[in-house]
This record gives sequence, structure tokens and C-alpha cells, in this order.
Amino acid sequence: MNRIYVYNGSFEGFLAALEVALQPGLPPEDIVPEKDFIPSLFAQAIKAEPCARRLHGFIERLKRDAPGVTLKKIFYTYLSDVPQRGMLAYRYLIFVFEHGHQAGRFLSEEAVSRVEDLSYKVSREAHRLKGFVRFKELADGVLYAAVEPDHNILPLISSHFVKRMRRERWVIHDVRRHLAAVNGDGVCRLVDIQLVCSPVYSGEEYDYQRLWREYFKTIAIESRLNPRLQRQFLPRRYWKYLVEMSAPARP
Amino acid sequence: MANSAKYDVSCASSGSSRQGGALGRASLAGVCHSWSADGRCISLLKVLFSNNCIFDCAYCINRRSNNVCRAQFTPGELAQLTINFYRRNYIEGLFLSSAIVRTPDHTMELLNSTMRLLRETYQFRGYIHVKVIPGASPALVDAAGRLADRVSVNIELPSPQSLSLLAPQKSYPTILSPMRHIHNIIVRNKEDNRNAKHGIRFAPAGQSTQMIIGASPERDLQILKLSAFLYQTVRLRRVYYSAYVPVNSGKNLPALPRPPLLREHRLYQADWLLRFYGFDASEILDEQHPDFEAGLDPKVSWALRHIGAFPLDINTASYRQLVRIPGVGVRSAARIMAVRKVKKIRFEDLKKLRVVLKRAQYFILVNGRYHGDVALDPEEIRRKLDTAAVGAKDSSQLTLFGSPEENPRALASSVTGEL
Repeated sequence: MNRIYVYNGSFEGFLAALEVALQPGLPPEDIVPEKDFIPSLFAQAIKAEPCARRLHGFIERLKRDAPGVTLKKIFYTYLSDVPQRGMLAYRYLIFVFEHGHQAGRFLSEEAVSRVEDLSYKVSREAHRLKGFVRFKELADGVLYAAVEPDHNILPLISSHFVKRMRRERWVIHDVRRHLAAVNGDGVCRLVDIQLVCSPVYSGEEYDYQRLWREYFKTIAIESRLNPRLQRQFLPRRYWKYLVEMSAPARP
Repeated sequence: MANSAKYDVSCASSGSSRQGGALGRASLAGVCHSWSADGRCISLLKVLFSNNCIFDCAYCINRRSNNVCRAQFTPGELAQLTINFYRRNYIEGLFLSSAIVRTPDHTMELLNSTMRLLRETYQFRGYIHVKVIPGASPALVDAAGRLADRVSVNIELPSPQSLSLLAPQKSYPTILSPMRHIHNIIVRNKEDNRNAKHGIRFAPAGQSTQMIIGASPERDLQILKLSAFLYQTVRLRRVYYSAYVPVNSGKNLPALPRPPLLREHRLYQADWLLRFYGFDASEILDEQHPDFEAGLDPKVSWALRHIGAFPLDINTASYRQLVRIPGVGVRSAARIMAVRKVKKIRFEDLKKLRVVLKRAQYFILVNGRYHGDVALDPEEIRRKLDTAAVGAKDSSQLTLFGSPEENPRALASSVTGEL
């Protein structure tokens, strides 16, 4: 019977599933979060519950037997939007435990290069979003930004915004994942949210949006127009929430 | 005001990390926030404080003799605009420049008071790039450097003769001496701060400059030598090249049908070779070859002229040799070095290590074997790689892109300088 390891969707759960799957004699067919699990006649679901003691032991083992960046690579793989991420992390860890501290150098091995490429993609999108987040000021002064990144990058970018806007109240909302980074009163939290009504913006907000659109239009040099190059850096899928790439919305 | 400032090409927001304060922090890696329709990165709010200029530089839209609408910010207005753009994450900071209002000192003082307002009243810690106004007194330049992350003095044109012809009120001494002055303060400031924990840092992101390409008759070799000289003597972080966009006409200005974007792109490629690939300006171009080739990037040109140095064995070449192979960059060279420590590299591995085989195949040996699809002969390889030569490209590319000037791939990284 094929084994499918199911975890609760958290990173702790992901690690717990990997830890169980790596036990000798228990190779997985797949490792998936609960919400993606489809019961099947031919597969046996094994639920992996995170346990603090075992997790601690697993992380200690990683520190001892694997290159220093391994946990980070596994975290980035977990944050990625690829359905096979569980199995990619699993094969990476098998390889890593086999080759020890030298493992990271085998960049031409499938098991290593897939995870390298994936975590590079995730970190690149996180970096992009540091620029693409557009806050809009609500009537009560809170800054609200909606985003729809490919990968779950909120955990990677919230500290960037905490550093520069510690004293502001702000929300970055991952619309597709119903997740938000919420900053206020000196703390920033990651929470599950659902928007119940459409946001009401401050009066000034529309003025600054207009100024920004004007600036954006003016700064382009007509004789070097190159929309293809623009799209290469600023792919269409991000335009929806970019003030400068969307039409003005006046109430 | 952005309309006047758009011809300035510097876009970087990197190299500095400020902390504390009420709002903002510069990120060491720099962040691009958007890309305008011409494909150039927008990272900073780039404005002229004023466009009301007493100078009459031939190439400039705001020259005294032009009839343009003159306007000026107040420091308060500009600071408020910056803060509100920054809070909304439109920008990484401010790029502050100005036409010369009344006197250079008066102008510099206006820029400084804007920065002071941002740094002191608003406690703003985001990125500020300020232009040093040519002719401003050293004390004011010192003050500017303590408020800004990066300072720059525009060299404007690649030779003293062109500068005096096209910008009669500017001269190389009035441009180079503030550069040297700034360089000296940066060096001294670094030494002073070595043991101090919270010393005031002078222009922590260093200084840069820019020059206009194609408005004057200099050859590429002369331009590249000037850049190398500036990198070596005053340790500039960046030299920006700006393809000349005709906004005025005049007897001393050339009439160009469109900006020389490909030439600008080749200069940026060569600039990268200078800064990250260990090349000398005199290797990239020489008296016999004073200009870049339209259809070949500078590294390929160099390699074809030095074919005797190739092929290099991927498994034994040093890092310095690896980065000189066309199709191998600093990243793929680092990957090659890492993999080599644990195993012998096979030809199939190279693609996974992101080596561009289209170019690299002619210049490498893998375990004793040459993998090029033509013999190791400069003329044959040239026929394969020269995008300007007829017959080198397949027909679909020819109809799509026309002349290399319009080849979007060649232009892809021309503006940000990313390669």
C-alpha cells in the first residue's frame, strides 16, 4: 500500500511529516497538507502530528549531519507553491544525509538542483514583492496592501516592512491564501483573515495615487519605450495591485 | 519636475543600511519598486528641486535658452511628498537633483535643507541620493554627504573638449575636484569610524557619476578608459552611461534618429567586465579595435581576438580563467568551483550549472573533449555568434527583430545595467 504522509499545513507539520517519512522502511508516495489530500483506495494516509521533542531531535540531527543552510532550504521549499514540494524536500534530505556537509556542492544532482532552483525562485519572488507591495491608506490611518504572490512569501517579507515602518499600523494581505501580516502596537503577527467589507480609503489616498500615476507616466522616455522589457521585469500577473499599472478608482 | 529629471540614469538604491529613526531603512541589497514603460527601474523618487537654470548646456532640456515652464519645490513640499510615497512603498527613497538656481551654493543649500528636514524633522532613514551641484563650496558638499546615502557628480561628457563645447559653464576640474574631495572624505570617514560604534557616516553608499553617450565624438575605448580611471582613482561605485536622447537641436549636437541604445548596452557589459570579471580596459578594447562590435558582446570579441588562450578545461581552469569564458558568469563560475570539489564535471552537468552553452561550447574542454559545433577557429565561431552578420540568425529572428539595434534581447538588460 502506498503511504501518503499528511500534515496540518504548518512548517512544524511539514518537518514532522519529513521526519516520519525518513524513518527506515517507510518510504512515502507523497507528502501533502491536509487541504490537498484526496483519499484513495490504493493509498494509506498517515497523519504526522508535530511533537516538540521529536522536532527538536530532528533539527539537532540536521545541524549535526547536514550543511548549515539545509533548514533554510527546506523552509523555502515549504513556502513554495509547487505541489511536489513535500517529495522534493524528502529527496533532498535523503541526499543530504547520505553525503553530509559536502552535499550542497552537488549542484548538478537532480535532488539538490531542484531544491536549489525552487528556493531561489521563492527568495526571488520575496525580493520582488518588497518592491511591489502597494499600501493604501484607510480612513482610520491604517496602511492596507493586497498581494497575490505565486509563493507564500509573507513570512519572508514581513520583517523587511517591520524594520522600515515599525511605528505605522499596516496590513499586508495575501488574498489567495487568506493570510495577512498585521503590524501594530509594536508587534507584527501572521494571521488568517477574510475581508468582510471593501476597505474605505482616506481622502488624501486618491491624491497620492494620482501623483504617483502621473510621476510614473512622466518618468518614461518616449524615444526608448520598450514595453516588452517592462513586462520582463514587471510581469503582468503582478499588475492587479500596482497603483501605477491599474486604472484609477475614484469612489 | 520628473519630466526634467528622467534623463538621469542612476537607479541604484543599494549599498547602504541605515537604522533607527521613525520611518524607513535603506536595504543593503537595494529594492526596485516598479519599471516604467521604457523598461527602466524605478527605485527612487527622482526629481529636480528646481528647473530654473542659469547654465546653458547644449544637451539639456532645462538650459537657460530653452523656453520651458520654470517651477520650484519648497523643501517642505518635497519632504512631504517623499514621506507619503515612501509610506505607500512606491519608492525606496529620494533622488535629489536640481538646476542651478541663482548660484551653485544657493542651490546646494536648498537641497541640503530638504534633506535636513527629512532626516531631522521626519526622522527619515530611507535612501537619499543627492547630486553635488558643480561649483558648490566644499563645506556644503560635506554637509550633503552627511545627510545622503550616495552622492554623485555628473561628469556629463567623456572628454574635457566635449564638455567645454557642449556645457560651456562646466569644466573637468570643477567636476573632478569635488569627486576627489568626496573620495578623500569617504576614506577619512571610514578610518574615523573604524572604532566608533555610532559615528556619522559620510555617503555610506559611496559616489557615482554618469556620462552621456553619443552626443560627442569619443570612441568606446576612450570612454571605457575614463571609467576605469574613475573606478581606480576615486573609487566610484558606479559609472552610468546614458544614451543621448536629443531634446534640443544645436550646431554642436549630432542629429541622431534614435538613442544609441545598443552602444549603451555594450558599455554596460564592458563596465561589468571591468568591475566583476577582472578585465582591464586595455584588454577589452585597443587602438586597433577602438569600438565595440554591434553583433558580439565585448567578452566574445575579446575571446575571439585571444583564441590562443582557449579552449580551457572546465575541470582545471582557475576561477579567474573561468569568468573569462564567454557564457560563464560569476555565478556559474562559483557553481563550477563548488561542484569540482566533490566530483568531476561532465558536459551534461554544465546546463544545470547555468552555463550558456551557446557561447561557451567553443571555448571549453570537458574531460579532454571539445564540444563546439564548428572547429576552434575565430572566423567560424564569429559566423555562429555574430548577431549582426547576415545568415547568422535563423529567418524568424530576422523578421521579428530587424536590425540588432532593435534586438530586444540585446537591450533587455541595457538600462538597469543588470546582466
